[in-house]
Amino acid sequence: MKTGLRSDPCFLRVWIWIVATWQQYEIDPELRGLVFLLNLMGKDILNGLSTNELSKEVQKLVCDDQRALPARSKIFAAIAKIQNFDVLPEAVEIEDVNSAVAEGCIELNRGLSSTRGVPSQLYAKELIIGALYPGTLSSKGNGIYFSVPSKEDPQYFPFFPKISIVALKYTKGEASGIVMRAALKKDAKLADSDDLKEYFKENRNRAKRAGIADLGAFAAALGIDALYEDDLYDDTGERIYTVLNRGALLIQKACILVQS
Amino acid sequence: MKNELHDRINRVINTTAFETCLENGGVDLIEFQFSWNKISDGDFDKLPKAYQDAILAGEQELKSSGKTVLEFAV
Repeated sequence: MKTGLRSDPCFLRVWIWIVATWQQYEIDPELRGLVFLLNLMGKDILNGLSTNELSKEVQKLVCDDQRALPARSKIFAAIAKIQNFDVLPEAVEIEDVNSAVAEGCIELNRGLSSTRGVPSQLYAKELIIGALYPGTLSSKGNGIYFSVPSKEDPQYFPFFPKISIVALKYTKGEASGIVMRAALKKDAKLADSDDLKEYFKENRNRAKRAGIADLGAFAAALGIDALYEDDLYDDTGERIYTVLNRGALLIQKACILVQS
Repeated sequence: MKNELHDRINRVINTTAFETCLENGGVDLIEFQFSWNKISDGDFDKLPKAYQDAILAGEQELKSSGKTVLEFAV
Protein backbone atom coordinates (compact mmCIF):
# COMPACT_ATOMS: atom_id res chain seq x y z
CA MET A 1 0.00 0.00 0.00
CA LYS A 2 1.29 3.45 -0.87
CA THR A 3 1.11 5.62 2.21
CA GLY A 4 3.27 8.61 1.42
CA LEU A 5 4.44 8.45 5.01
CA ARG A 6 7.94 7.13 4.38
CA SER A 7 9.06 10.45 3.03
CA ASP A 8 7.55 12.17 6.01
CA PRO A 9 9.98 12.95 8.85
CA CYS A 10 7.21 12.08 11.28
CA PHE A 11 7.01 8.54 9.97
CA LEU A 12 8.95 7.21 12.92
CA ARG A 13 6.36 8.50 15.32
CA VAL A 14 3.33 7.21 13.48
CA TRP A 15 2.99 3.61 12.46
CA ILE A 16 0.15 2.12 10.65
CA TRP A 17 -1.26 -0.98 12.14
CA ILE A 18 -3.63 -3.26 10.31
CA VAL A 19 -5.41 -6.12 11.99
CA ALA A 20 -5.07 -8.95 9.53
CA THR A 21 -7.40 -11.19 11.48
CA TRP A 22 -10.31 -8.87 10.89
CA GLN A 23 -10.39 -10.08 7.32
CA GLN A 24 -12.01 -13.39 8.20
CA TYR A 25 -14.89 -11.58 9.88
CA GLU A 26 -15.71 -9.51 6.84
CA ILE A 27 -19.26 -9.79 5.69
CA ASP A 28 -20.20 -10.45 2.11
CA PRO A 29 -20.93 -6.95 0.74
CA GLU A 30 -24.23 -8.19 -0.68
CA LEU A 31 -25.39 -9.23 2.78
CA ARG A 32 -24.29 -6.09 4.58
CA GLY A 33 -27.64 -4.33 4.24
CA LEU A 34 -29.54 -7.31 5.59
CA VAL A 35 -27.11 -7.87 8.45
CA PHE A 36 -27.35 -4.21 9.41
CA LEU A 37 -31.15 -4.35 9.41
CA LEU A 38 -31.00 -7.37 11.67
CA ASN A 39 -28.53 -5.53 13.88
CA LEU A 40 -30.85 -2.58 14.16
CA MET A 41 -33.38 -4.47 16.17
CA GLY A 42 -32.94 -2.33 19.27
CA LYS A 43 -36.39 -1.62 20.68
CA ASP A 44 -37.67 0.35 23.61
CA ILE A 45 -37.49 -2.50 26.10
CA LEU A 46 -37.84 -0.10 29.02
CA ASN A 47 -41.48 0.41 28.06
CA GLY A 48 -41.95 -2.63 25.83
CA LEU A 49 -41.35 -5.10 28.67
CA SER A 50 -42.70 -4.99 32.18
CA THR A 51 -40.10 -3.82 34.70
CA ASN A 52 -40.28 -7.27 36.29
CA GLU A 53 -39.59 -9.04 33.02
CA LEU A 54 -36.76 -6.66 32.15
CA SER A 55 -35.21 -6.87 35.58
CA LYS A 56 -35.33 -10.69 35.50
CA GLU A 57 -33.77 -10.86 32.03
CA VAL A 58 -31.02 -8.45 33.04
CA GLN A 59 -30.27 -10.20 36.33
CA LYS A 60 -29.99 -13.56 34.61
CA LEU A 61 -27.40 -12.21 32.18
CA VAL A 62 -25.56 -10.35 34.95
CA CYS A 63 -25.27 -13.59 36.95
CA ASP A 64 -23.83 -15.37 33.90
CA ASP A 65 -21.25 -12.60 33.32
CA GLN A 66 -18.13 -13.82 35.09
CA ARG A 67 -15.99 -10.77 34.30
CA ALA A 68 -14.60 -8.69 37.14
CA LEU A 69 -16.57 -5.57 36.31
CA PRO A 70 -18.66 -3.09 38.30
CA ALA A 71 -22.30 -4.19 38.61
CA ARG A 72 -23.45 -1.24 36.51
CA SER A 73 -21.16 -2.20 33.64
CA LYS A 74 -22.56 -5.73 33.72
CA ILE A 75 -26.10 -4.36 33.61
CA PHE A 76 -25.17 -2.31 30.55
CA ALA A 77 -23.64 -5.42 28.94
CA ALA A 78 -26.85 -7.36 29.70
CA ILE A 79 -29.07 -4.72 28.11
CA ALA A 80 -26.74 -4.54 25.11
CA LYS A 81 -27.10 -8.30 24.74
CA ILE A 82 -30.90 -8.19 24.96
CA GLN A 83 -30.93 -5.41 22.36
CA ASN A 84 -28.47 -7.25 20.12
CA PHE A 85 -26.12 -4.29 20.54
CA ASP A 86 -23.17 -6.58 21.32
CA VAL A 87 -22.82 -7.78 17.73
CA LEU A 88 -19.55 -7.20 15.92
CA PRO A 89 -19.03 -3.99 13.98
CA GLU A 90 -18.13 -4.08 10.30
CA ALA A 91 -14.37 -3.90 9.74
CA VAL A 92 -13.86 -2.00 6.50
CA GLU A 93 -11.25 -0.35 4.29
CA ILE A 94 -10.29 3.33 4.41
CA GLU A 95 -12.23 3.99 1.22
CA ASP A 96 -15.41 2.58 2.79
CA VAL A 97 -15.19 4.96 5.73
CA ASN A 98 -14.37 7.83 3.37
CA SER A 99 -17.46 7.01 1.29
CA ALA A 100 -19.68 6.68 4.34
CA VAL A 101 -18.48 10.05 5.65
CA ALA A 102 -18.99 11.62 2.22
CA GLU A 103 -22.56 10.32 2.32
CA GLY A 104 -23.17 12.04 5.62
CA CYS A 105 -22.32 9.34 8.16
CA ILE A 106 -20.69 10.66 11.31
CA GLU A 107 -16.94 10.16 11.43
CA LEU A 108 -15.50 9.08 14.74
CA ASN A 109 -12.13 8.44 16.36
CA ARG A 110 -11.28 6.48 19.47
CA GLY A 111 -8.00 6.65 21.35
CA LEU A 112 -6.75 3.69 23.36
CA SER A 113 -3.70 3.46 25.58
CA SER A 114 -1.60 0.54 26.76
CA THR A 115 -2.25 -0.16 30.41
CA ARG A 116 -1.09 -2.71 32.95
CA GLY A 117 1.07 -4.45 30.40
CA VAL A 118 -1.79 -4.86 27.92
CA PRO A 119 -0.86 -3.31 24.56
CA SER A 120 -3.32 -0.89 23.00
CA GLN A 121 -3.50 -3.12 19.90
CA LEU A 122 -5.15 -5.82 21.99
CA TYR A 123 -7.82 -3.40 23.21
CA ALA A 124 -8.39 -2.35 19.59
CA LYS A 125 -8.69 -5.93 18.45
CA GLU A 126 -11.15 -6.71 21.24
CA LEU A 127 -13.29 -3.79 20.17
CA ILE A 128 -13.60 -5.30 16.71
CA ILE A 129 -13.73 -9.03 17.29
CA GLY A 130 -13.98 -9.59 21.02
CA ALA A 131 -16.79 -9.67 23.54
CA LEU A 132 -18.39 -6.26 24.06
CA TYR A 133 -16.52 -4.41 26.81
CA PRO A 134 -19.00 -2.10 28.51
CA GLY A 135 -16.35 0.29 29.84
CA THR A 136 -15.77 1.46 33.38
CA LEU A 137 -14.81 5.13 32.99
CA SER A 138 -18.44 6.08 32.85
CA SER A 139 -18.70 9.75 33.79
CA LYS A 140 -21.24 10.05 30.96
CA GLY A 141 -22.54 6.50 31.17
CA ASN A 142 -21.39 3.07 30.06
CA GLY A 143 -20.73 2.50 26.39
CA ILE A 144 -17.92 2.96 23.90
CA TYR A 145 -16.62 6.52 23.81
CA PHE A 146 -15.69 8.15 20.50
CA SER A 147 -15.05 11.74 19.43
CA VAL A 148 -15.57 13.54 16.17
CA PRO A 149 -12.18 14.35 14.58
CA SER A 150 -11.56 18.03 13.97
CA LYS A 151 -7.87 18.54 13.20
CA GLU A 152 -6.20 18.14 9.84
CA ASP A 153 -2.67 16.91 10.32
CA PRO A 154 -0.56 15.70 7.37
CA GLN A 155 1.31 13.17 9.50
CA TYR A 156 -1.85 11.07 9.82
CA PHE A 157 -2.96 11.42 6.20
CA PRO A 158 -4.31 9.49 4.26
CA PHE A 159 -5.41 7.02 6.91
CA PHE A 160 -6.93 9.75 9.02
CA PRO A 161 -7.97 12.75 6.88
CA LYS A 162 -8.84 14.37 10.20
CA ILE A 163 -7.71 13.37 13.66
CA SER A 164 -9.43 13.87 17.00
CA ILE A 165 -7.68 15.87 19.70
CA VAL A 166 -9.66 13.97 22.35
CA ALA A 167 -8.74 10.56 20.89
CA LEU A 168 -5.04 11.49 20.85
CA LYS A 169 -5.32 12.48 24.51
CA TYR A 170 -6.40 8.94 25.40
CA THR A 171 -3.43 7.29 23.69
CA LYS A 172 -1.06 8.33 26.47
CA GLY A 173 0.04 5.35 28.51
CA GLU A 174 2.83 2.91 29.26
CA ALA A 175 3.64 2.19 25.63
CA SER A 176 2.28 3.06 22.19
CA GLY A 177 -1.33 4.09 22.05
CA ILE A 178 -3.67 3.60 19.15
CA VAL A 179 -6.24 5.73 17.36
CA MET A 180 -9.09 4.01 15.57
CA ARG A 181 -11.30 5.53 12.89
CA ALA A 182 -14.94 4.64 12.49
CA ALA A 183 -18.24 5.90 11.16
CA LEU A 184 -21.74 5.53 12.49
CA LYS A 185 -24.00 3.83 10.00
CA LYS A 186 -26.51 6.04 8.28
CA ASP A 187 -29.61 4.71 9.99
CA ALA A 188 -28.17 4.73 13.50
CA LYS A 189 -30.59 6.06 16.10
CA LEU A 190 -28.89 9.00 17.77
CA ALA A 191 -29.92 11.14 20.70
CA ASP A 192 -28.65 14.35 22.23
CA SER A 193 -27.94 13.55 25.84
CA ASP A 194 -29.74 16.77 26.87
CA ASP A 195 -32.93 15.71 25.15
CA LEU A 196 -33.07 12.51 27.17
CA LYS A 197 -32.90 14.32 30.48
CA GLU A 198 -36.59 15.19 30.64
CA TYR A 199 -37.51 11.71 29.48
CA PHE A 200 -35.45 10.27 32.29
CA LYS A 201 -37.26 12.42 34.85
CA GLU A 202 -40.58 11.01 33.65
CA ASN A 203 -39.25 7.44 33.69
CA ARG A 204 -37.00 7.57 36.72
CA ASN A 205 -39.04 5.11 38.79
CA ARG A 206 -39.52 2.71 35.93
CA ALA A 207 -35.78 2.64 35.29
CA LYS A 208 -35.08 2.15 38.96
CA ARG A 209 -37.51 -0.77 39.20
CA ALA A 210 -35.83 -2.38 36.21
CA GLY A 211 -32.45 -2.02 37.95
CA ILE A 212 -31.09 0.58 35.51
CA ALA A 213 -28.87 3.15 37.19
CA ASP A 214 -26.59 4.33 34.39
CA LEU A 215 -27.12 6.73 31.51
CA GLY A 216 -25.72 4.37 28.88
CA ALA A 217 -27.88 1.49 30.07
CA PHE A 218 -30.95 3.75 30.17
CA ALA A 219 -30.40 4.94 26.59
CA ALA A 220 -29.62 1.41 25.37
CA ALA A 221 -32.86 0.17 26.95
CA LEU A 222 -34.70 2.78 24.89
CA GLY A 223 -33.11 1.35 21.74
CA ILE A 224 -30.78 4.30 21.08
CA ASP A 225 -27.59 3.40 19.20
CA ALA A 226 -25.47 6.34 20.33
CA LEU A 227 -25.72 9.39 22.58
CA TYR A 228 -23.84 12.60 21.94
CA GLU A 229 -22.68 15.48 24.05
CA ASP A 230 -20.79 18.73 23.46
CA ASP A 231 -18.43 20.85 25.54
CA LEU A 232 -16.88 18.10 27.60
CA TYR A 233 -13.30 19.32 27.19
CA ASP A 234 -11.50 22.64 27.68
CA ASP A 235 -9.15 22.41 24.74
CA THR A 236 -11.55 21.32 22.01
CA GLY A 237 -15.19 21.53 21.12
CA GLU A 238 -15.19 18.06 19.58
CA ARG A 239 -18.50 16.28 20.02
CA ILE A 240 -18.36 13.10 22.10
CA TYR A 241 -20.39 10.04 21.18
CA THR A 242 -21.16 7.22 23.57
CA VAL A 243 -21.82 4.34 21.23
CA LEU A 244 -24.20 1.80 22.77
CA ASN A 245 -24.72 -0.41 19.73
CA ARG A 246 -21.42 -1.74 18.44
CA GLY A 247 -23.25 -3.07 15.38
CA ALA A 248 -24.00 0.50 14.31
CA LEU A 249 -20.31 1.08 13.59
CA LEU A 250 -18.13 0.74 10.53
CA ILE A 251 -14.57 0.48 11.81
CA GLN A 252 -11.58 1.16 9.61
CA LYS A 253 -9.08 -1.70 9.63
CA ALA A 254 -6.08 0.62 9.43
CA CYS A 255 -5.38 2.35 12.73
CA ILE A 256 -2.45 4.48 13.77
CA LEU A 257 -0.05 3.72 16.55
CA VAL A 258 1.08 6.77 18.46
CA GLN A 259 4.19 6.58 20.56
CA SER A 260 3.75 7.92 24.10
CA MET B 1 -10.71 22.62 34.30
CA LYS B 2 -13.31 20.50 32.49
CA ASN B 3 -10.66 17.92 31.66
CA GLU B 4 -9.52 17.74 35.25
CA LEU B 5 -13.02 17.34 36.67
CA HIS B 6 -13.82 14.76 34.01
CA ASP B 7 -10.78 12.69 35.06
CA ARG B 8 -11.63 13.10 38.74
CA ILE B 9 -15.13 11.77 38.19
CA ASN B 10 -13.94 8.86 36.09
CA ARG B 11 -11.55 7.86 38.88
CA VAL B 12 -14.25 7.72 41.57
CA ILE B 13 -17.41 6.75 39.73
CA ASN B 14 -17.13 3.05 40.56
CA THR B 15 -16.30 3.46 44.23
CA THR B 16 -18.90 2.38 46.76
CA ALA B 17 -18.53 5.61 48.74
CA PHE B 18 -19.27 7.77 45.69
CA GLU B 19 -22.47 5.90 44.90
CA THR B 20 -23.65 5.72 48.49
CA CYS B 21 -22.95 9.38 49.12
CA LEU B 22 -24.76 10.42 45.95
CA GLU B 23 -27.77 8.31 46.94
CA ASN B 24 -27.76 9.76 50.44
CA GLY B 25 -27.79 13.20 48.88
CA GLY B 26 -30.93 12.25 46.96
CA VAL B 27 -29.28 12.23 43.54
CA ASP B 28 -29.58 9.44 40.97
CA LEU B 29 -26.37 8.50 39.21
CA ILE B 30 -28.08 9.04 35.85
CA GLU B 31 -29.06 12.54 36.90
CA PHE B 32 -25.44 13.13 37.89
CA GLN B 33 -24.15 11.76 34.56
CA PHE B 34 -26.52 14.04 32.67
CA SER B 35 -25.65 17.18 34.51
CA TRP B 36 -22.22 17.44 36.15
CA ASN B 37 -20.56 19.13 33.18
CA LYS B 38 -23.51 21.40 32.44
CA ILE B 39 -23.76 22.73 35.98
CA SER B 40 -20.11 23.24 36.75
CA ASP B 41 -18.36 24.21 33.52
CA GLY B 42 -15.48 22.22 34.96
CA ASP B 43 -15.35 24.05 38.27
CA PHE B 44 -15.63 21.65 41.20
CA ASP B 45 -16.78 24.47 43.49
CA LYS B 46 -19.78 25.16 41.27
CA LEU B 47 -21.10 21.61 41.67
CA PRO B 48 -24.03 21.04 44.05
CA LYS B 49 -22.97 19.95 47.51
CA ALA B 50 -24.25 16.38 47.01
CA TYR B 51 -22.03 16.04 43.93
CA GLN B 52 -18.99 17.48 45.69
CA ASP B 53 -19.49 15.25 48.73
CA ALA B 54 -19.82 12.14 46.55
CA ILE B 55 -16.61 12.90 44.65
CA LEU B 56 -14.71 13.64 47.85
CA ALA B 57 -16.05 10.44 49.46
CA GLY B 58 -14.93 8.43 46.43
CA GLU B 59 -11.48 10.00 46.59
CA GLN B 60 -11.27 9.24 50.28
CA GLU B 61 -12.15 5.58 49.60
CA LEU B 62 -9.42 5.36 46.96
CA LYS B 63 -6.91 7.04 49.26
CA SER B 64 -7.73 4.65 52.11
CA SER B 65 -7.26 1.66 49.84
CA GLY B 66 -3.96 3.03 48.52
CA LYS B 67 -5.21 3.15 44.93
CA THR B 68 -5.44 5.98 42.43
CA VAL B 69 -8.24 4.32 40.49
CA LEU B 70 -10.23 1.09 40.76
CA GLU B 71 -9.00 -1.41 38.21
CA PHE B 72 -11.10 -4.02 36.50
CA ALA B 73 -10.28 -6.97 34.31
CA VAL B 74 -10.35 -6.48 30.58
